[in-house]
Amino acid sequence: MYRALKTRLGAGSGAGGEQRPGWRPPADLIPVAAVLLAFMAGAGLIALAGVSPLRAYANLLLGAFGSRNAIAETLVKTTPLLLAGLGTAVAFRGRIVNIGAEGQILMGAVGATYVGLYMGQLTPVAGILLAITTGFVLGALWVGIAAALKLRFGASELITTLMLNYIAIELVGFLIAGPWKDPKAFNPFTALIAPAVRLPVLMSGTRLHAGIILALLATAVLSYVLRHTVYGFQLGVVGANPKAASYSGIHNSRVILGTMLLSGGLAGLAGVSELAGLHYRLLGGLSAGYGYTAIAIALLGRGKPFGVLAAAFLFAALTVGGDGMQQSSAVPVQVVMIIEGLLLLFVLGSEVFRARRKLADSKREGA
Amino acid sequence: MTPVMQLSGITKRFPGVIANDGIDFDLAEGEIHALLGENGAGKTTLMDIIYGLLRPDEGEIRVRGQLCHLRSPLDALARGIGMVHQHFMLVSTLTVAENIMLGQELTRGPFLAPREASRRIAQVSSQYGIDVHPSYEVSQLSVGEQQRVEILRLLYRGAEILILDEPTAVITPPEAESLFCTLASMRRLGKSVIFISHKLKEVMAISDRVTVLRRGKVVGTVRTGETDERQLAQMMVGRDVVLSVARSGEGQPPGAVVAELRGLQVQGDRGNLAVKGVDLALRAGEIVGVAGVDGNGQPELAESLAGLRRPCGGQMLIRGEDATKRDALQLAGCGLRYVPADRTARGAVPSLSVADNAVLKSHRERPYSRYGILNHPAIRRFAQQLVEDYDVRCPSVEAPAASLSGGNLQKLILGRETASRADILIVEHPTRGLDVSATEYVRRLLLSQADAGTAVLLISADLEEVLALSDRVAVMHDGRFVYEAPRESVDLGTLGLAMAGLEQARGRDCTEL
Amino acid sequence: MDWSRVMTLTFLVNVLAASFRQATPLILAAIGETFAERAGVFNLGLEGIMLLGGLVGFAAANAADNLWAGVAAAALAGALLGLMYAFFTVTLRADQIVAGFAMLIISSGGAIYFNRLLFPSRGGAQPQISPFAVVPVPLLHDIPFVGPVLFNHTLLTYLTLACVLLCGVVLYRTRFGLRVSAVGEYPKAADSAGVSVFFIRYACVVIGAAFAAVGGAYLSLVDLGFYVDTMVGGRGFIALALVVFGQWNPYAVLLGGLLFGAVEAIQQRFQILGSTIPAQFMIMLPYLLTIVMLLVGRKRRAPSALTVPYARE
Repeated sequence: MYRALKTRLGAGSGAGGEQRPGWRPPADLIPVAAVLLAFMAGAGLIALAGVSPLRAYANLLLGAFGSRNAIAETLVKTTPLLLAGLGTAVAFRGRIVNIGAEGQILMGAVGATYVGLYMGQLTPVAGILLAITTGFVLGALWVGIAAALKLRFGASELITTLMLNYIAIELVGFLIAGPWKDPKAFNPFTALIAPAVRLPVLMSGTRLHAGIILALLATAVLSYVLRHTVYGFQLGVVGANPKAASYSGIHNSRVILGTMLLSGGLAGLAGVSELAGLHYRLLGGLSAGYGYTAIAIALLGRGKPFGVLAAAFLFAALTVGGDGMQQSSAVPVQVVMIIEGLLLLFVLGSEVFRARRKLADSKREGA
Repeated sequence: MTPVMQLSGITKRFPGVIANDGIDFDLAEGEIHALLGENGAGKTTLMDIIYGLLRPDEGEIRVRGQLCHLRSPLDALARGIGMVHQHFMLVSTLTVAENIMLGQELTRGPFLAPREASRRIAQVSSQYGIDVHPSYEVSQLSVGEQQRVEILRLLYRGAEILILDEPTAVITPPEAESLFCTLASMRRLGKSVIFISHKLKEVMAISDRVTVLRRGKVVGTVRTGETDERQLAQMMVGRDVVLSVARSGEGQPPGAVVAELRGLQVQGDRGNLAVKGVDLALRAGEIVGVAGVDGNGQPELAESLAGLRRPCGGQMLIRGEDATKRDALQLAGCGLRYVPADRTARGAVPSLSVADNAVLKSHRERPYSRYGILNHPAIRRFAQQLVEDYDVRCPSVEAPAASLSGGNLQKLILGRETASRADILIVEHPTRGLDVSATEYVRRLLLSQADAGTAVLLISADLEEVLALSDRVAVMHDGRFVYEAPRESVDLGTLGLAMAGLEQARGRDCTEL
Repeated sequence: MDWSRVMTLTFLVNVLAASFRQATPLILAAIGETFAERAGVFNLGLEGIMLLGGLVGFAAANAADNLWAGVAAAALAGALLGLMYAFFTVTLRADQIVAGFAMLIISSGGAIYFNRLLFPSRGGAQPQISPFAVVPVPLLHDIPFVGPVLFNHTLLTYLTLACVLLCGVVLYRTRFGLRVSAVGEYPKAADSAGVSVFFIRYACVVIGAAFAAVGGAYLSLVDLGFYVDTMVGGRGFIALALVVFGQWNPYAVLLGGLLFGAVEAIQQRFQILGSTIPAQFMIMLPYLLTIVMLLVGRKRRAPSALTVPYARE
């Protein structure tokens, strides 16, 4: 009977994927175009500074990849961006606006600092594992405050996570100038953490530390979780259509809570990485805006872990290369920041065009 | 005398369906003209065309003899055509006066002049006998009062032709009475009204002429004085129903009672009681069709049966056990399946793939997942099987569900719900928005489910569908079942009356105005 | 800590007066955003617009040797940014959160970048200008208690207070304000009444951004006398919460802003008076207050169409 129906239908209706007339640029080209546009605009700004854009960009590339040390630095910068970016991306997947990565990074670092200062007698493996766990938990708890307020009071997580950032900064400021201040130093920071809690250096002569492994591991694990677990599936449904989610028997609030905690934990790991791999002590400015850059990275990576990896690497290269560019070409490094913003804007703009096109197509279909 | 508005040969097509088919309609000056027809008959489309929201594929519109091309509602209002929708175009945080004046505000210098506005409004309102308080905030008004404001707003802006879409659906009987007085005074002042309604008593009470639509065509236009409710009902419902898919008379007698509702009461979204005490028994292998106009409690009934809405009174029994407090997952475990009316909002997630949608409800179970890990090959196989079995046209099961047409999406959802034999299947408006072939397919599917022993509850505003498929027919009106009969003994006239509501619309004598 | 100096009238007057000063940039940004949100548009990028306004204001005032030129330039810069933002959110109907964030990065990045360009710090002294002077209102400022609190401020603060009044009047008493409320609540109804939703939204977003930019200019032209990358310090975000707290009512926003200013003023004075509470906890107070504000000011009376792009069917 079904076969008979099929032949009767013919070409009339029900063809789900019939091609529309007119050329459509393949979807993958659009972000590339956006990237190119952003760099062109950046070239314009560089020209404003009176420098040849080509030379400046050459110095950018050299600064990021020109030497063994440069590559190491780029990877060092990628680590916190990637971890925080993953955390932000996972929240976006569920339509949760977590912009508190900055604070969660700091709290993760606080957790690792505690382990590093007061539990130095552990073996290296135990020490590092404990630091990682503590940092994750603290980052999760920090965002948990915002999660509780959201689920209980409907408070906008956008504002609460943001405010918690500032509170975390002050908290850290208090700790490093007060109870955890290194008594031997004049400046406000803590003593060095115990060697057992430090992440090992991977490439001698550089700052590249094991944090990158942690970050890459997290990327792979998250990618698997999102694609292959029931939780990942439910998160996708909740983020796309909460009504359909409850219709399917999914507990929306549980998924949201779990996701926010995961998101905060990942950002916390970024803090652990910076602390235990790079600075070895808690100090002001540990997170130099990584939390906010992570938002851009999460958006550019379209919420897919490997996309976030690519975006984090790109931004890290821009930052490290930008330093080189500033030194060699006297172009203020902030042009990189503007390029990053433009990147975001253009990619966003291209998304809008795609969405409009889709809407127009689907309108032509159904009554 | 030239009619104040004349439609000739209006035709409007949408993919797969002809909403309006060569409609001729005219409206005289100082006339109240009722438009009758069931859901899907084409009334809304026709009104959208008159009102400038849609453009007809064929046909002409003439206002006072002049040909019009209406491009927008503002255009229509400029020609004197105003429409009172079911969702009023009123901003609830503004006052009555502000709403009426919006876009044409009276000002004194740079400031608004609320007192002057009140004065002008009072003038117009006394002219028509519409009672409003200009300074009250709209959110504080009852629905009936808001409706008055909406009407006054249109009159104030020069509407000569007023279209009212189911105006008494949302107001109380006393408010309906004052509405009719208003309409009567409008008629006296030479304005014309098109009145869309299902309520035959009201139509008989207030209108001068009635036009009945069925399946996009005009069945007839009669003078109200020359007809009666029975005749109108039969025109609406029609005797010659061409059925291609029908429940055959033979078939097994219904089996045991699988689900039972006793005095079920369910609250609606606005705190009102949407289901006011329903008794119903669903038997294995039997299709119970519930007909009724939208908005009489059907979605709330379906949702509470499916576990998405807690009943506030009464009982629900599944195989004799009390299931009133069970949630969606538990009920699904009891063999209950639900296909909601709104495909893309609830039943499916358009941005996810077809395969993901196929396991939307079953992703927690084996073999689709184990210990929390999804089994993608199994999911894909299931989805592919589903797509084949239910003839879902899609490029691949990994394509986003948004790329499916309405019919295919519905087939997918139905397939998903019926893939594992359901004991109880609840479907709401299953063929709404689907083309002919998809509709046939879906109906065949429902019949085969019943043949296999499922108890089916079919809620539909499409009377033909209900009559074709059901073993027993019920009519839901104002939260209750007002009619129930086995299909063979259904009397179409009574059915139509029941659907239209046996409400008293007392025709008050408005001569004192 | 010396509590004897706190429990005096002088202290109270001092704090109240300082509240006005501290609150001004916040109030400016919040009032502007009130307009934008009333029309249905949410601007996350306020923080960046304030910073850029602060830079432009400073640079212009420095170049023209005229403080008001700085204010005007900042307003213009803000208006342009607003235009850009409106294009993305109203015409292109992009998601307002993401677009706002992009705006944030671009304007803050732009501010920092152009600052380096215009005032390269080659080890010399940072350029400075003499900030707005306090202009006491003749006669009125001598009134005990009320005088020093209300009438002993810079012209910019007086202007801000006047703006609050102006905004309230425009919103509640003029045709434009009525249309703004309609557009933010039920754009379809406004559209069917002949009101241009696009124009209203554009206008409000531009107003909002211009106000925010002037708020930023206050920081560099009144508070500091120079520009610093960190001078906004989250005020742009606090302004967003302030709008919610004030329930989209300019007068309530003013009060909320003053509350904030008071907390900041108290916090500063406590530090000077040798409070034993660590400075950082005092600095946390405004942000904690914002969170509390959010819990108090529910989104009950939010304009219904806030963050919802409008498309005519």
